[in-house]
Amino acid sequence: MGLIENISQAIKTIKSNSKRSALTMIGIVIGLTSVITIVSAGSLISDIVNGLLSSMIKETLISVEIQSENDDMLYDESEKYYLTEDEKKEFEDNAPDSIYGVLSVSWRLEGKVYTDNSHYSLARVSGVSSAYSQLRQVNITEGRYLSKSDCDKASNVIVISDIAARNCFGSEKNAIGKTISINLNQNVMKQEKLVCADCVVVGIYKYEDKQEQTKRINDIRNFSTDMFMPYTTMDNLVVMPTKLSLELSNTYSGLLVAAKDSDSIPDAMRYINDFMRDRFPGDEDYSYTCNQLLPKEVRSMIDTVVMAITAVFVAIGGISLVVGGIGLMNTMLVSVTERTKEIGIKKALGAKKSTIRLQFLIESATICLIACAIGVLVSSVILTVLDTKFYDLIDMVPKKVLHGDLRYYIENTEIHIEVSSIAVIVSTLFSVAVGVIFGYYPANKGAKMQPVDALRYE
Amino acid sequence: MSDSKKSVVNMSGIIKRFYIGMPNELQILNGIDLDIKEGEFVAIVGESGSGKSTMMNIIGALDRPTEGKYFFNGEDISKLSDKKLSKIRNKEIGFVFQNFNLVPRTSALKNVELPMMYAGIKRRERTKRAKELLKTVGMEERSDHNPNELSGGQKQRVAIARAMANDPSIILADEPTGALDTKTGRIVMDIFHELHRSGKTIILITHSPELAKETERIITISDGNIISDTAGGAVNGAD
Repeated sequence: MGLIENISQAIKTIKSNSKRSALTMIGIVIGLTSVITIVSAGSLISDIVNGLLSSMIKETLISVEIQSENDDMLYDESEKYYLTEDEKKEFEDNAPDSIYGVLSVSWRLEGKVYTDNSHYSLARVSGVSSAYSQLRQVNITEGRYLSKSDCDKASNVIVISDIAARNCFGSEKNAIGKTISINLNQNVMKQEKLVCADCVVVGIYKYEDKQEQTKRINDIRNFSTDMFMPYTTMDNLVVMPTKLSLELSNTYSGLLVAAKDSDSIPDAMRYINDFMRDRFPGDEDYSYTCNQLLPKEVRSMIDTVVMAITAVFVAIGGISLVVGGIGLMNTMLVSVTERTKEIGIKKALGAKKSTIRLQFLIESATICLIACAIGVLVSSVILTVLDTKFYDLIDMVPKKVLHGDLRYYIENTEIHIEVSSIAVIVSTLFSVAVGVIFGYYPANKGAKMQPVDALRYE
Repeated sequence: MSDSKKSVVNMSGIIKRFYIGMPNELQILNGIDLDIKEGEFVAIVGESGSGKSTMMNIIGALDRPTEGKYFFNGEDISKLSDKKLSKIRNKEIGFVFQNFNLVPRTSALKNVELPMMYAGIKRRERTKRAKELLKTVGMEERSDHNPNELSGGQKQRVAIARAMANDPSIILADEPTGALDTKTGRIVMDIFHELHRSGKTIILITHSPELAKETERIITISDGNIISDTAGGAVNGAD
């Protein structure tokens, strides 16, 4: 019996038992739909994560930070742990080809943060990028660190130390979301200028008191700690020095340098190291660190994680496919038993074991292929709906769950969810395999029937 | 009828035992010797329980004997494999059953085509032949009907057409008129006589002595033994 004949016979059988066939197919349809949907969505997750990282951090970025080993409570002008505007200019002018440019600088001004006259805390406020936290190991205990959207929007937000939080608000928990006032001193043209702003506290970090200096001071409010605000916010607040002005006492605690490309990084690093070693000889109480942001290893680690998560979901989808297959085996066993007489007749007419087996295998494979088609259709519908309603769904997700850089990136990027054609092809092959594997036992059972007994069956 | 005609069915010492449980062996056939020549119209008569169904199954290569030899068209098929037996059934034996046994939800035409499909005959040829066969039994107008749309007599006629599909050596009919009324039964028997006249070997299994009288040769079986082998009412195809 030809293939076409078997298939048309199979379709006839499926149609005549439509309810039973439909119930059998449900399991397989669910399994296939989930696999296709998840794989397609999985590639979306991978794209988002990688896209987010690319937008946040480029592999070619080098962050140069000046660290003071001795976090003294007093800001000593004689100690140098900052770069001046002149030095920054010098850096840029002498930079080799391997360096694309200086993307941003960290401003650091000192002053105080306060809520009223009695609730204040001395501060060194730095304008930093969102990547800063990785390098300085800022240990956020409440709220969050600064995000890329904070920097892009130049929001008036600030991350303060736990000491400052207690000084100004009584406790760390009280401080989150509250507004704090900032007064900072900036030297412009040899004149003190006061930089004032009101910022919302978005995060609190734990101040590491390595040398127990907090114990030595009488009034903890006078203990100066670092605070962080977006560098773009800082740019808006400070008085930008003009090119002609020579008396520039803006200080930078760090630079964000972009190398031209991945291959230029060693050369760029060499230049930076030479430059910084010149100005910050190692045996003083300060040092600099030069870190390449997001090395390749981290990126591939992220890819691996996303792949692992996708694999887990695919496995779950695969399990439901197996369960569907078991249902199929059951249905086929019933079908074979029902058609015992028919099998007997066909054998009496000369059908071989293989002929009977093939007939039932094709029947179960056909059921699976129909279920596969339905599954592809359903998952296409689901994915299309997700695609068109994606941003509506994002809006519905509470800010607590989806926030910061991730939310900003998703909201501002064109994201498309498509049916993964690989998923469709693999699922089709899988469903045929399920049909053959789970249909084999019943088909074999039918094939092995003795014609005499089968003919007697009523 | 003469010795120069070859033997189609030649059995010697055929014994069939069924194993129901170890000590309980049931011997249905106790050493059957049988020789049927080409072109004969033979009836095998017996009561229920006589072993005639078992014998029919062995003749029709649906079952193997426990002991003894069965030469079919000169070939010993008593120990052949399932695969080989099914080939013989397909090409050499045409079954007609009491309950018609047409494949349901399949047209009469496709039913007749079925043995030819298994023989590997191409579609165009087998459709043509199936139509011709249906014509010979007078069923060409209902070739696209499914079995549930046909009466008993019509179904049996389709079954006969099917049995003839691969031009087999023997037609093996098991109580072919058992489920039919007298009138339709008559039509069916007439078709058998027609086939006999054209040279076909027909073996009719029945419990009715009246029906047996229409054949040339009546073999009576009882308790697993052939007890008589006589001439029937019909001689040389004349009715």
